[in-house]
Amino acid sequence: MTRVSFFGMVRDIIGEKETQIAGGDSVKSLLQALSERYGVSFGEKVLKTPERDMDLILLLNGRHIEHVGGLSAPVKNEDHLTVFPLVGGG
Amino acid sequence: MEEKKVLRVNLTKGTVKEEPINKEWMKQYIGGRGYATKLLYEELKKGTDPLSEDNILIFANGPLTGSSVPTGGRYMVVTKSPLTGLIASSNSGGYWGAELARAGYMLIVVEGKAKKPVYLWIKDGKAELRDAASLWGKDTHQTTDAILKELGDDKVKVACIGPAGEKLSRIACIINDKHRAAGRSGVGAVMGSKNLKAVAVKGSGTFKAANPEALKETLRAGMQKIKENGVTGEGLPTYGTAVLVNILNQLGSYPHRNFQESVHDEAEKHSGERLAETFLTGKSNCFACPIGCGRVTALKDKHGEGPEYETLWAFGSNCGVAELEPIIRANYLCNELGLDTISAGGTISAAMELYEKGYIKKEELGSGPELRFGSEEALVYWTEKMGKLEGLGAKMAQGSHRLCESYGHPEFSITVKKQELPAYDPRGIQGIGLTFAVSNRGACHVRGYLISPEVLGIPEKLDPWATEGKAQWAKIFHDLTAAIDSSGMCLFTSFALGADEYAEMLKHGAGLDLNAESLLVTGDRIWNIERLFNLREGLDPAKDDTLPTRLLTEPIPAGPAKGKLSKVKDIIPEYYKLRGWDAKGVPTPAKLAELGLK
Repeated sequence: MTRVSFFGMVRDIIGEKETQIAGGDSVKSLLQALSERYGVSFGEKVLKTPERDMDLILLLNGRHIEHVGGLSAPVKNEDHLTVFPLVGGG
Repeated sequence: MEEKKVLRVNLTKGTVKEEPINKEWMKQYIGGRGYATKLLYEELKKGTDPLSEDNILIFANGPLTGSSVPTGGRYMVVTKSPLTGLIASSNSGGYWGAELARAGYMLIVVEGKAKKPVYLWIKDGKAELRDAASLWGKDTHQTTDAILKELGDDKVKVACIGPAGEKLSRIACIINDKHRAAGRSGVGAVMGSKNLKAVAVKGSGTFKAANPEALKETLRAGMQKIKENGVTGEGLPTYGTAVLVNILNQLGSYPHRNFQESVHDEAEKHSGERLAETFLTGKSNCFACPIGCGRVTALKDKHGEGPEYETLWAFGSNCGVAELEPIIRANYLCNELGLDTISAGGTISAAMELYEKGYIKKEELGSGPELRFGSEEALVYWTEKMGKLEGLGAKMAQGSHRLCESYGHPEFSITVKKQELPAYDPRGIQGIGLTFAVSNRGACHVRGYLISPEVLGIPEKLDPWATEGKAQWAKIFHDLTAAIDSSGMCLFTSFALGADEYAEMLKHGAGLDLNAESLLVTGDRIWNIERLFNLREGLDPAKDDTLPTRLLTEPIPAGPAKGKLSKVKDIIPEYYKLRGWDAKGVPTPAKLAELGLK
């Protein structure tokens, strides 16, 4: 089981702060598993398309997935994925 | 375009007079930050004591302040800083700047010192100094209300100082519209040193574009980009800046307990998400802003605006405080008393470290609570004492550098050029560390917001741990930001807009012959004249363009960025080179000639 935490609008859309989910050996398959669990609300409102991750900030163990292999980055059971909407500030 | 003017106020003589805008300076420096720095560089005598009557205090709009360009309501305060001894250059939003433009002025240049407290009242091209004896001692909200009442017009916009500025706290800010701050580098103390309590403005003029039709088309395209952009169209309007708390904490680069750590296990408790569930009552926009990042909040006994991300961190994680309520209370106190929240939080956290390590003694606290990390009571109590300069608070109100030096432990002051660091750990985010180190006004995140590419992935994702390429990114961000700060627009638009759009708006709005390339050259010129000002005032790049020792020698102890140190010393030589500076950080004659700065 991989721990997944949600923040900002993503949290509002799916109505949960955190979950444990099985079935992902990569970030991409983990996102697919999340789409199956949360259905339309996650797949359409959060991901928009399976390949599109630019509207999200995805951190795997505190590292942006871009720097650990992107959507194909390997995921292990003890890993922690955090899902943020694209936000900004200063 | 309607001809704006410079209002020159001499408080010693009690005179006000108008001057024309220097058109050549506008071409070279745009307005706002750039124009005001040029003016200060030309007029301020080297070595002037920042709190003496010889210092010059400049309020400066950009040429687009008061126009309908998105976020066109910003103004700058430029002076010699009593905190850093270098250039002070603080930006604020709200409605005050736009009102000043409507009243017919682009700049107010304040010289001298009034014999007794005064405030400046400007209405449609007329200005006068009025007695402020009854306002002295009042906080910024009371002052604003009293002026509106005295003038009998609740549409007047007021920028003023609170007790912190009056009593010359070197971290005092100027507050306009009650909730917006020209926050950093102690500009409020310069106002206080001149016995200038407030500047009240009212105007009825309208903005006249150089090319209204072309500007309309540029605005339409720009507005669309801002609306469609994930950050400016959705992220900032929905959560404000506070949503960054969880992101930075999850990255492990959210400084905790005066940068001794960089993960706060309880950060969620003061996150933007939690704020939205609890104390948030509404949102607020500055003049002509389609983004609306401002947060309106309420406690049981008072209400106000904020806290922003920086403040949540400064009073929250950095002081070890988890809960929102004391953070909001300290934020309100800063707005009312007129203190910069970043420096105030950084100073309290340094004081907490000094106390916990035994350097500040219990007897120095008087009847106040112990300065322990995580103490909500201490946070609120000592913020108030700092803002009123009472007891140990008077010492703290001079900033963490002077506080820690006075105890013989400057290493606990997390500052660059004596100014407290903002809310990002440079050990885990290398590029922003470079900006902190070389920023002309001391540690600052908004001289070049490298967090955008390094954390958020805008315009492209850079690895925050890497140093490669960061010098080049920093230079472009620094130059673009200097131009934006000079235009009258808000830096937040740069999540959606690029140099092309800013150049178009300045061209069609203000009649400045700019394109993307020349806009960046202008930014380069502004950065360099700030540098020249600092060098003239004694900046020693070898000693001053760096980060606190802790960030260079004490690795982040735990979390995702565990083991990381700032490698800023490796990046600076490349940055100097890209700037056209010599190895000692001094602009070369060739660079100065290229920019027309000889």
